[in-house]
Amino acid sequence: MTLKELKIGQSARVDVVGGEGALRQHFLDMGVIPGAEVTVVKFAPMGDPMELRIHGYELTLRLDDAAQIEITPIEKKEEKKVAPKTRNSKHAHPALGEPGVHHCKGDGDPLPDDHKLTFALVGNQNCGKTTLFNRLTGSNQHVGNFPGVTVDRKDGVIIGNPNTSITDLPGIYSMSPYSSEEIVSRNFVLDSKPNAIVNIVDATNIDRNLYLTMQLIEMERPLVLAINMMDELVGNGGSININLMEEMLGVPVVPISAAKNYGIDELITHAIHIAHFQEKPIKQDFCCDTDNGGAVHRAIHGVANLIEDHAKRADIPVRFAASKCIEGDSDIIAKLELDENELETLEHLVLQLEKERGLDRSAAIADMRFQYITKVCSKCVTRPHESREHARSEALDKVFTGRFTAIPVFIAIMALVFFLTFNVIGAFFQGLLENLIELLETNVDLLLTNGNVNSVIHGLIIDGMFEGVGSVLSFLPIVVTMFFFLSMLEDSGYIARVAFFMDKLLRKIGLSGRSIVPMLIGFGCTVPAVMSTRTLPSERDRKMTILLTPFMSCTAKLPIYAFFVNAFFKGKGGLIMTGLYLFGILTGIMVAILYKKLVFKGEAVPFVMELPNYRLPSGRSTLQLMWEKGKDFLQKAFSVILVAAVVVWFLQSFSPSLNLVEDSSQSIMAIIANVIAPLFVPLGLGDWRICTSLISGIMAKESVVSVLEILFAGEGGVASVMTPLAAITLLVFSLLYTPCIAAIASVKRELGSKWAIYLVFWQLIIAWLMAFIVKLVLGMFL
Amino acid sequence: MIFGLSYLDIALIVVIAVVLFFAIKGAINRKKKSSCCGNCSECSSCSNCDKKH
Repeated sequence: MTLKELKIGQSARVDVVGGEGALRQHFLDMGVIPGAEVTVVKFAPMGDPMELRIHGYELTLRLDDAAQIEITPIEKKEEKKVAPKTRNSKHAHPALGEPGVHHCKGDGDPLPDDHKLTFALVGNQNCGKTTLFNRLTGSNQHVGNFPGVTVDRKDGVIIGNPNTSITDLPGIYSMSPYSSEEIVSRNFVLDSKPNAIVNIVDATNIDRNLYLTMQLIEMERPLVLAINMMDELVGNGGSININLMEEMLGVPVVPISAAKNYGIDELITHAIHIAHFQEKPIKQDFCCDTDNGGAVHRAIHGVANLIEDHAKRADIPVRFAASKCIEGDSDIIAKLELDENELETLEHLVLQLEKERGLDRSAAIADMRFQYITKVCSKCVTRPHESREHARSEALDKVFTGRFTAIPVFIAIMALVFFLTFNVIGAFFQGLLENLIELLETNVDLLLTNGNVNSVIHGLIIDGMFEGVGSVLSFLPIVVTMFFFLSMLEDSGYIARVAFFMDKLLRKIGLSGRSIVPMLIGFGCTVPAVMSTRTLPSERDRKMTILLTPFMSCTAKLPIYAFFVNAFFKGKGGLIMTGLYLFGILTGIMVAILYKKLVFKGEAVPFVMELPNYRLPSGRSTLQLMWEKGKDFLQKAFSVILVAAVVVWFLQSFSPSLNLVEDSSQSIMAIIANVIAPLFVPLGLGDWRICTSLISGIMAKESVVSVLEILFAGEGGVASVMTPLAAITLLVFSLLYTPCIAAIASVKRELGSKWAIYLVFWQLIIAWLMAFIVKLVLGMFL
Repeated sequence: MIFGLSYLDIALIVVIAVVLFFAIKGAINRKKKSSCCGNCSECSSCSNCDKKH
């Protein structure tokens, strides 16, 4: 029987984990190992993927992948909340990593006092790394509640310790490279050799989190274990015998709560001590010669002896290299440069291990690690009763991921977000800001007129700077409100659910459910959306998602939509805005199908993802994100847009001989724009001023509005020159054409120049074609 | 009056020049940031990037 056939509420024991390659290794690393108990929690509304409970956390995977896992159904016993016998026993505090006490000093010499201590902050996804990083460094990095918020490394200095540097790495489940951000983390620890590792684990999900710890300990770097979310564990009746855990793992263990700022000072003291005195983990040998006949133990030690000289030459910790060789990690094997005899011997040792253990190589190593973890947890951890957070999540999920409610609720939530942003909250503050800017502009205009200021300077200040920047600035409230809602959705853990129930739909267009995360972020801004694709484990999915993200209308395009709605479609703002967003999504779907059939053939990556508990979004984090985005918008308005506005004002005010022109059709800008204007004639947008605004939109989308304001100022506004049909055509073109320069740069960074150039031209072609079709179709009615 | 410009005009030109200087500097910094490899928070001190910051 396979896992796919298990019904909701039924439990089973895993017998065989099928499949191959990185995905299979990922399953094993996530705890899906022979002998593990799984319970089916639910199926997504469309029947696929499924949600499982394993090792006390929720994991989702597709039915096709579940079909590769053989199981034996079992009766799920009621879990008894029995505290380990050691709970109240007195264990001497090993005092690892504490000042005044030194362990395993290596050569006995501490690092020089002026040596800059470097730390790597490593842990599973969504275990609170970035929250801890912010606490340690006083930074304001964005935190979220779905796996994979951190996709690149962030550096900072530990507060009060200027001669330190700590790097926040993307969350990883193991040291086996599965996705690109896992490779970033692994390479950092292996190559940059930080002086110490701060390994953060989630106390509420400690079994799976310790799996990574076991591998980090093998790296032979000084390591301090920070057990995060202790407040949650203790609050729900659980506890951890820290002294015993420290003794069993051989590394300092510090209980903390990053969110509540508890235990942070103690963690810093331990981290600095082990880094300064280079105190490495006391034990690395977690295999046991009595476990299952000692097959794994013998194999690891045999391989370690075989490769020791190569590992030292390649500067890779021997024990780590031995485990990876047995798992068949091709990167590590290549770095070791083993000769033919050694490779053959390695293969023989591994075959013997498989024969004696009755498991394949990867499963045998994963099993050994989980066995030790079980031993540690059974002695040190008192399991909590079901946490309030988990019970709350289960209740909410009945609605948010329910079979008949998930998609209607998602549509309702998104509709509410847009309604509140454009019609209620954002619109109200926009009105206030507009009045303020207008008041300021009128007064400055009056002052300049009364002061008899030179007409060119007057024009530059009022028609260039005020019109250009002011027209964009008034959209600040809408942008900030939009990010507020996106942040709320992300922090609450809802976006992970959207990925879960949208997986089947997205698979039809060749993507995985995880692609929904970058897509939703794309409604805010394309740049972070493109970066967030680093969490996708396959290159094919990453490329396809990146190329589709520009179809999700970003907030920078909102000023364009609002500008034309005000000019042409007053009172129909909601309809036009929703229509444009849907049109972008529909075009994206059509393009995705095209990509799937022609460019990116094959299947989307498997959907293996952890579903976090719902959490109340943190006010600090939300306000911080709004502040960051607001600041970014203001910086853009007063830098890129101000410069663009002044350049446009100059080009449209002067002739090629640098004389002030009365009629702007004689200006430098008109001459330049007239070159490309014929391309836009079939769209009904052949006016040189419109072409100019579209060109400036490549710098920053908001510039389209400021340029239109400047260029049409003398003719009573854009409504007196354009027809409603031309306005809609222009809106469709603006929605779909080449993203801004920052987005193109981020695509170049992720995929290279070739794809960035391709994206620029492809988006132009798509935009032109769709705008032309819309013009033809609507032309029949308008 | 200098070159037909009043003192107020000249003062305004200076103010505009200063504002534009900072705006251009800001625009250049944004461009630098957007072409950074994204491997650190401080783009200017990034050593993983092939860009010359």
